[in-house]
Amino acid sequence: MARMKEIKPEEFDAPVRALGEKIVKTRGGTIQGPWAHMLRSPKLAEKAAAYSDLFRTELSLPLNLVQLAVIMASRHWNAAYVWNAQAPRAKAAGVSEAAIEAIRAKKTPSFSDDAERAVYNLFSELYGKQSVSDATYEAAVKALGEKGLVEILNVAGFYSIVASIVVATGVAPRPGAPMPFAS
Amino acid sequence: MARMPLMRPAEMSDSQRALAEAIAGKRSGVIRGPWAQLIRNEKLTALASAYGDYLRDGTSVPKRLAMIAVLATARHWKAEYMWAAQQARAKEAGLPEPLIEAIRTGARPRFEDAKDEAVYTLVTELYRNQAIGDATYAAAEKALGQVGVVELLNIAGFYTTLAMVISATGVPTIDGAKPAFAG
Repeated sequence: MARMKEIKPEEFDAPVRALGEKIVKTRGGTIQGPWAHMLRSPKLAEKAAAYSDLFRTELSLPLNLVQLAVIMASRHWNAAYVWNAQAPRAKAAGVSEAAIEAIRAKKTPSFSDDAERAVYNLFSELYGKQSVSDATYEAAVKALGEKGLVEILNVAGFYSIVASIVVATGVAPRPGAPMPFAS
Repeated sequence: MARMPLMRPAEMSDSQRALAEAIAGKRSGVIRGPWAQLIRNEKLTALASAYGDYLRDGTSVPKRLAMIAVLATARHWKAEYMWAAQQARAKEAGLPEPLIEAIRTGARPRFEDAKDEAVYTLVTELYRNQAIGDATYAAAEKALGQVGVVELLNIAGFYTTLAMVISATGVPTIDGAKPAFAG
């Protein structure tokens, strides 16, 4: 069933379109997908973008860990559109292809990097059990620091928002793009 | 096990304390709960707070429906602090006691209002299945409109972020509150 129609860039009022173009400058460059939906509520889109812009510049975390959290959120919520956009970024940030493939296939990856393993375990437990064991918490704090742990939870939470919009409103992979989670 | 200690004003830098006071002014006087963890990254906290304020006071989603999403989110992530902290708002927004109690136990509530049911079903189906059925989407769009659906998903996801911080870092519940999700 077709769900929410994506508003096209030229269909927005000029100020909203200008806001959208500013928002997507660092997000693939085209007003589409979840941001086309966010822009139905322009002030919300502006605030969501200002907050998530910080993920690129103001976190104490290395990018491979940020991207690992992002692809795990998109996998958990079955947001194929987000996965297609973010899996290449995870690879570029240094997450191994084998780990990305294992996450896609819902298998347990093996990590050579302790910090990546700590992040993986953190989100596996959170998504799977909605709680985190003492050992997993300790490994996460050791790998990320207290500040970094709080930061990565924000990243995962924000991509959960993006993913839930994708899943609920029916944002599909673009024509010709892979269907990574097809069973 | 004690996990991450909440930051106390005495441990904050001057700028952290000023930000904490600005946030606390809008939220019951003292910075507390997950905000006392987020404050470790000031810029992130400032923009998360602006985003959260908008989601609380600026959207088209009626308070009552927003509170159903917030309570269902607290329940899903077993975020005791959030459950305790949001009770007063839920009652102010007019949520009937039996509905609140059913959300707490996870029993399917008996709904008097189709909009209540649409929102509850959208959020719980998302958390349970990471997918949304056609009928659930259609009911949500009817209850909230397209803008409201996008806004509600932002509300649920923003509270998911806070709930994950609460669960993972071990934010204690409010003094004197009895556990809502024990057992």
